[in-house]
Amino acid sequence: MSPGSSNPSSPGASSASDDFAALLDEELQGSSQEVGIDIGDGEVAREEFEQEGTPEEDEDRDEMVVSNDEEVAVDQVGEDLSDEVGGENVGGSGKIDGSKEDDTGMEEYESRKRKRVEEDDMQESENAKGICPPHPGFMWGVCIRCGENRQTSNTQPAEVGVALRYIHEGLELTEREAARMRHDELKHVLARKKLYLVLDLDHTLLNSARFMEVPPDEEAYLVACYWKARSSGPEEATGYNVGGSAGPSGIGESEYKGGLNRLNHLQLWTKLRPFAHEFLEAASKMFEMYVYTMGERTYAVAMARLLDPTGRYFGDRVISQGDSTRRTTKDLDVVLGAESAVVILDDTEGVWPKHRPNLMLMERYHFFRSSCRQFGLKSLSLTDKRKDESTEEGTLANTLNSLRSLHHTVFSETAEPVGSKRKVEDVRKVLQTLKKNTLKGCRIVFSRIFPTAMRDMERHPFWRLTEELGAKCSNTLHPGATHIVALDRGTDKARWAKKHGKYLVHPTWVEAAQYLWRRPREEDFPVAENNPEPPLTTYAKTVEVLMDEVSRSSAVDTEAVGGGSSADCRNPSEVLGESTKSKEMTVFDTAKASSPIDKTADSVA
Amino acid sequence: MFFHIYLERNMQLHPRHFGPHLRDKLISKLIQDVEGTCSGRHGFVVAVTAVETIGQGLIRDGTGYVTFPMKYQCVVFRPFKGEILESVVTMVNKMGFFAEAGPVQIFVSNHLIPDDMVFQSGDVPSYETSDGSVRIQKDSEVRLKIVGTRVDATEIFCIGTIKDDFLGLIGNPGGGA
Ligand SMILES: [Zn+2]
Repeated sequence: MSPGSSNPSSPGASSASDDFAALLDEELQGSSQEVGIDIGDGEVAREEFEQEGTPEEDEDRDEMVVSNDEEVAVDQVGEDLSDEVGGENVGGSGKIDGSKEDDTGMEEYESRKRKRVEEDDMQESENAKGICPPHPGFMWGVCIRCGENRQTSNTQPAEVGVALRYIHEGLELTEREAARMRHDELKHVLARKKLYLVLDLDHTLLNSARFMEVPPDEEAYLVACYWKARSSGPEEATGYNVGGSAGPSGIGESEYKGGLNRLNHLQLWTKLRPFAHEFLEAASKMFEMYVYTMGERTYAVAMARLLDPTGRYFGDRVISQGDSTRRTTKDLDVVLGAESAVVILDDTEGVWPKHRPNLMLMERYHFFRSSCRQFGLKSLSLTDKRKDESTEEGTLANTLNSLRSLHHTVFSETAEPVGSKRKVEDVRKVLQTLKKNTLKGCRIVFSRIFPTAMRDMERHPFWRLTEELGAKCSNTLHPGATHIVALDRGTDKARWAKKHGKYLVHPTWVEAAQYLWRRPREEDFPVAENNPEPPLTTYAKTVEVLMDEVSRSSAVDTEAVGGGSSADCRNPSEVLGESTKSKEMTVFDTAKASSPIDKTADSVA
Repeated sequence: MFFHIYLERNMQLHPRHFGPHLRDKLISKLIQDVEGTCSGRHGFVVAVTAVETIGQGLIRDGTGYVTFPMKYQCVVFRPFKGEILESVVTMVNKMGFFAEAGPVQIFVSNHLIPDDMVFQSGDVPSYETSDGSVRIQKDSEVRLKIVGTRVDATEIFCIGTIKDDFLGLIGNPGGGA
């Protein structure tokens, strides 16, 4: 069938070939990107093509007319949708609401976004119900609604879209379509009494170190932990029953052992933050969860698998660096969740320039020495201290409590039954309120925190943080003050505090409040004599890792709680004591065995 | 759609195969080379059914390989816009679902799923009618219509719809429809 040698010998076969050629030519008309061998007898086939092509064109025209008639109805649908969720939905899913003001320094972004949304609204009504162009999005470069190829579509300039490679390679949506998705999704998610939770990996849910970054002595400790956990049987050691096929055997070399994992294929040690699995299990009931990391895809997927072996928490919602629309920051545009319903857990504020109001800042989890080094921390790592964060009172447990009250607040505002039109509180507003309760009632006076010559100290991040946490701030002493924040005991204000029995605290007390979402105990943040070193480097409660007692074979992640009754367990800085004695621990562990949360204790008893 | 067509191909053969079984060798190599492949223009080569002619071999300078022009008949599978296919769902997500009809991957976006079918996340994500009578999930069999294709040199992708009469679920994993 190459040119010249055509006319196949068998006539029967020839007709089949001709039909095929005809169809091909019809298909390929106007499409310039085709690659392939030239069949050659297109000339003959053209006539057939004309016949077949005509009815189809007519059909297309019919569709257009019908759609135009529907336009009015479509418009209404669009508005109804916005009403249902729009009230609290500040520009979030790209809806009409422009009345909300945003006092968190995002005005510019919001207004830009609103502007875009307004433009979008012009086309929204057409776009909502099926007329291309504009095309809502592309899969493999083909419009997902009308099937037109992007390259051949000359009806509109190529629009910058949101690539959603984490959902599927080749999927790209326009901003409008992404907004529509968020909008639709929001209804379904809210109907299930859920919100969205975007989770960072490193230093938030886990900590990783490359093999090459782990010095021999640290490695020896890790190996000891790893094997000790391993020898005690997977389920007891994990303190968490992964269950079924998701069990350790399914994970292979990366078996989950006390949260410590050795990933040979990635040349990595990975330590899950204590309580990670419990956290995810509990949070999955309140949130649709995403993983969003600046790490690479392979890393992200491997980590997601450690956290969620069956994929029931995250599904395909694992976003890694390549999926992000920007190289150095994270953006909710790739998350198909309305911004008014997204909570972000991350240890780095700077990567979320546009979504600070959604962020719950996490205290960094530095398990490995290399991790401390990377952040320039002089303090000992958890491996050096032979410690780990507490399971029941560590960062993730605290965070879960905050999330619970957030979830409760968001949904308790709605008295109406599920399914009807409901107004749900904007997560950002609720977060702000919760934050404001942290240091509520505290009247703080700063003593030599800011240089005296400094103007606009009210705009200093530390000042703003303190106010965001609900405290009243001042730089001049007044009788109503409750706390003096100082670095030095010798200042006038510090002496005043002592004289009048007011709290004198180190600035890290404020920082701690930010991470703990409650007022930290003042005693744990004393201002030492001439000591600029912060009293605490970690705010989350840590506990010793029992490594040396042979009888406790399962003890790798068994964390003994260092002293204290359950009453003051609420105090996060119990850590400070570091007074853990092994005999006390035994007692405490036995006590813990009665607690349903910690299965670890069972194996100990 | 399936077609029975003629195609040509130049086969290169190492001199060690020259001998009484030269023809068999050429044919088996042809089958090995083309069956299961996809060319953007012709679609997927399902099976070689006959070899019409094998032309004169031409010795290639320097290598000793000989090139034989072969003309053969084969069954190809090539999806077209407007065509109706039966397919098996491979993945369901909030954007829509993916399905396969033999070697062809088809994406059906939620624009092209009937409005009364709503995405349900969960352990087994699905699209379901409110009364639960129709449920499309992984491994469901679905009849769909191709609305667009993208043809590469080696791959064909399709966008499909089930938003039309007689389209949609035809069978579920486990037998129930
Ligand atoms: Zn389109």
